[in-house]
Amino acid sequence: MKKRKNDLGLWGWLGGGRWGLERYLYSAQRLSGVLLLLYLVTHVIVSGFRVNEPLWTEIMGALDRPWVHVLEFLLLVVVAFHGFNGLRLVLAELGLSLGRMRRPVYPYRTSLVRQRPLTLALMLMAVAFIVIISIEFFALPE
Amino acid sequence: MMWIRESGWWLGFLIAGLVGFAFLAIHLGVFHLPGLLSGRPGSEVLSFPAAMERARSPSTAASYIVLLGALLYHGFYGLRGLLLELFPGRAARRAITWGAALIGMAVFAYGTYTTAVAARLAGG
Amino acid sequence: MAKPEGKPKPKLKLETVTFKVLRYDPERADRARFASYQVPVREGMTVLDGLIYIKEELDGSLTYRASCRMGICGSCGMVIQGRPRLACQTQILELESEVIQIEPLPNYPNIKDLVPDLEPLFAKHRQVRPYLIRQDTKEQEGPTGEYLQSPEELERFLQLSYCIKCGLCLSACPTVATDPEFLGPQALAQAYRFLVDSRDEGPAERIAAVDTEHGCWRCHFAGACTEVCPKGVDPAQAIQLLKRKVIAYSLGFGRRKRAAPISPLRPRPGIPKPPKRTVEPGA
Repeated sequence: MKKRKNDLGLWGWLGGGRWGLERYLYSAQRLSGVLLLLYLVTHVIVSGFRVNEPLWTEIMGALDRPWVHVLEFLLLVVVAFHGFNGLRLVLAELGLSLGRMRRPVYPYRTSLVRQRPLTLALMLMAVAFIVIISIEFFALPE
Repeated sequence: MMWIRESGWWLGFLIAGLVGFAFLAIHLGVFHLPGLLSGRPGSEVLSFPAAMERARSPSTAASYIVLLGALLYHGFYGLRGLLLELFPGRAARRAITWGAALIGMAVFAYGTYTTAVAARLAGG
Repeated sequence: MAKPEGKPKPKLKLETVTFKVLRYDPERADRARFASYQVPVREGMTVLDGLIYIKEELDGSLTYRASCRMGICGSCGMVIQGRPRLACQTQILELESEVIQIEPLPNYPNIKDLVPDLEPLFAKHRQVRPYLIRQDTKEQEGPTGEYLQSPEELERFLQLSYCIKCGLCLSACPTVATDPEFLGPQALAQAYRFLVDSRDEGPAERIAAVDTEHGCWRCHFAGACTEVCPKGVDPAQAIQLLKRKVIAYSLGFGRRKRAAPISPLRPRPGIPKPPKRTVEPGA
């Protein structure tokens, strides 16, 4: 019997627009993770150049630009999101923030809804972190 | 892989994430923040002598290595999971796991080596 | 499905709604195509009522699965306005749209029109051994008593036993979308259901099925499964609790599970004895 393949594939990761918060946090966590990994490998290689004085001086000179500064700030924004969302995931995936099993009574108040206060608290902490570093990056006198 | 079940690798991923988070906060606070706050121009903070000054103490080198190991393990395990989901199948499974492990270990070796060399250059 | 309390009555006053259904006939064409139907609508009509109207009055070739029409058999799962839902539990007027788009459940092969092939769901369910495993197999085949279980012990997995195997959760899960080997929220939740069942003595086999590269570790708590579950099973919660259990087991806790004791059946006055056995166990 000929059956039509009907998998969502990668579009299933991106969501399609009608889901709750956690689905999009998942996609963002994955994306930010890949970006951070790429940055990490680059950073290890580039900062390894500090063993070679002329190369180091040349590269640091090239990188001492305002747009590099902005990119570094954006990097810290991504780090803040990935880190604080990661804390939420550590608590959830160890089953600590989801509550116990209970008899389902309609309308169902799911574990996702129950851990939303924690999600909000962690995201506020991430925002606070970003505000602090943006003051240091942009507002302090050079 | 063979002797540790998947749950062991995953637990390591969690712990590496937490350790990485903590050490990254320290790394940013100790190495990058004072430079930003000191009011000195970027070209001076990032210059070779300043870098050598930071690389001197052995605790610096040790913290770099822990940070690097934790973040590399966390990152490559996550990437491996992502690739396993995109490319299922027996042959792909083995290739992805070993590829991620080898590249991760290679970067770690490079980072550890340069940290050791820098510490020696700086006189520590 | 988690709905907010006191949802207001739908504001749209509609007489007719357009059903845009994705049709696929394997014998006619290779591609799926949308077909539109005008369906008269009354308050209280479900999407399933609309599909039945289409099949009876407009186009008898429309194919879909449905049975109980009350959200307990799990047959009528389909994607309505972009989300997997049960057609019998979705009110047309609550969707508040003049065009209702209906497609078959994704992440399963599509047999015809709105009918998915749910065999992947059942195969994955079978992999976690969804039955009580006990050492005393003789007792299981020729029972002499009942397994004792307190209400508190029941409460630990009762929520998970409400699963109707409708398959909506696997359609919603982003990991199932790309990874056909992933066990899926339904199988993982049922694995947890048996792990915490006080009557079960088989943690070793179930954890071996679940602690694999495509087992519970490829769940990343996107929570979409919980959002679409029509019975409030909350598989996302079950899977995270399962992860904790697997870690504890791998560190050595919980390996020797003390199973529920058996209580012999007490004959009560006025109740006749059971008839003599005519078929031997194992026949």
